Amino acid sequence: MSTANAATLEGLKLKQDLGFAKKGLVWALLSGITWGFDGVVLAMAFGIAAFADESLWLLAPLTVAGLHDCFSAFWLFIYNLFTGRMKELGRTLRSKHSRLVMLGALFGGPVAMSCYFLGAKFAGAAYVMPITALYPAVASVFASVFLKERICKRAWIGLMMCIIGGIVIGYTPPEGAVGSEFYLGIMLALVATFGWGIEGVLATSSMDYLDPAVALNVRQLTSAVVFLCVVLPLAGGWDMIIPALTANVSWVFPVAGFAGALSYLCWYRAMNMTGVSRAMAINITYSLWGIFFSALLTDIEITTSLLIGAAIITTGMVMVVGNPKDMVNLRNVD
Amino acid sequence: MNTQTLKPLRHFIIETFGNGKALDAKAVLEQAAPSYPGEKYCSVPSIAEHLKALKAVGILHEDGSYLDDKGKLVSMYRISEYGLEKIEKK
Repeated sequence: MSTANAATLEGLKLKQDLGFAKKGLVWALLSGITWGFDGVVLAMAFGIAAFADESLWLLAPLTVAGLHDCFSAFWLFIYNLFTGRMKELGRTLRSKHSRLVMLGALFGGPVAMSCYFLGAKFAGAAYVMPITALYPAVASVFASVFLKERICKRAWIGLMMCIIGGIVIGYTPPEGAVGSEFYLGIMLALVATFGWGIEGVLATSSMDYLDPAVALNVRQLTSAVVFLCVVLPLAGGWDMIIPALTANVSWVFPVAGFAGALSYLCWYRAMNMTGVSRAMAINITYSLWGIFFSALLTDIEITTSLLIGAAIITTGMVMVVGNPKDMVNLRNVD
Repeated sequence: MNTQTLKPLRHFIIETFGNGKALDAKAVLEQAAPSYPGEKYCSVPSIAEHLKALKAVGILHEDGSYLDDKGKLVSMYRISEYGLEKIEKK
């Protein structure tokens, strides 16, 4: 082969590899944008009159979370049906690798969500929110240990900036003295953080063998079934489902479920293309996009802390992304 | 009955490389097609995406490339040590 031809080939190869890595970054960014939209739309569900009762502090948000995952699983099923992946879904459900996806779904879905709401009740959102915001850092530690993922110092700093930015945006001052259940609440917040952190690693590990879109459908089906059959009965029953689906804002469930399906689809693809740590760090920019969509769809006040948090997240994200050439090989393996 | 049919396509692709040979997406499709008859999911573009993802996570190495008749880059892949460990562990 001539030197000129070899150079052309090398150039095309580099372009192909970079194209793949950059596509992964776009998926990660889209996952953050759609998750921000999902959160803003889903929050409208809490305006449903039937949810106003104080005694429903746990059942109401878990019903919302369960319905979200049910609709999300439905939309993903439709996606896989129209892209010819139905038989692959059957094969994946029978495969032993799907067990890791299901385990991740349990940790990241019902377990983390339930612990988050219980933790917020017992310790207060002011303490629980900064703890749970650490989940991308937990995921990155797991990814570097179990998946041997390459994470450079600059990316770690960027990741921490994304987390701090998220905390600045979501921070609410503590309310008075802490109760006797405070430490239980902190423990539950730690479990939620662990749950969300481990999900990405379990999913990415299983996606070494599975198609991301299909693995995600397994994830949402598992989460929906566990929410409906285990979590809701334990939290008080299915009483809130009919009022939620017949309320005048019931449209939020299929719409948020669709945004959630899209967000997860982008996220799972991104984790498989850019690595868990980068995908998570960019995904956490959802708090930034949440402000944008809240400003568009609601009457949120844009405060200084929101703007500072947004600036920190953006800087952190740029540091995490760094040079896409570093993403051609994600893991420290031979 | 061909039990390999029961495996997800990406898993099948990894095992196709188990003999250590270098393959491109078309060669993988030739081996996979009989096990996934009539599935539009089992196609060259779909397999090419799986191969890129498997390369990114270190299971496959790129082992040369060439330009096809249409001037399009075609990559050849070979299993890595890490990939072989994965096959042996399963």
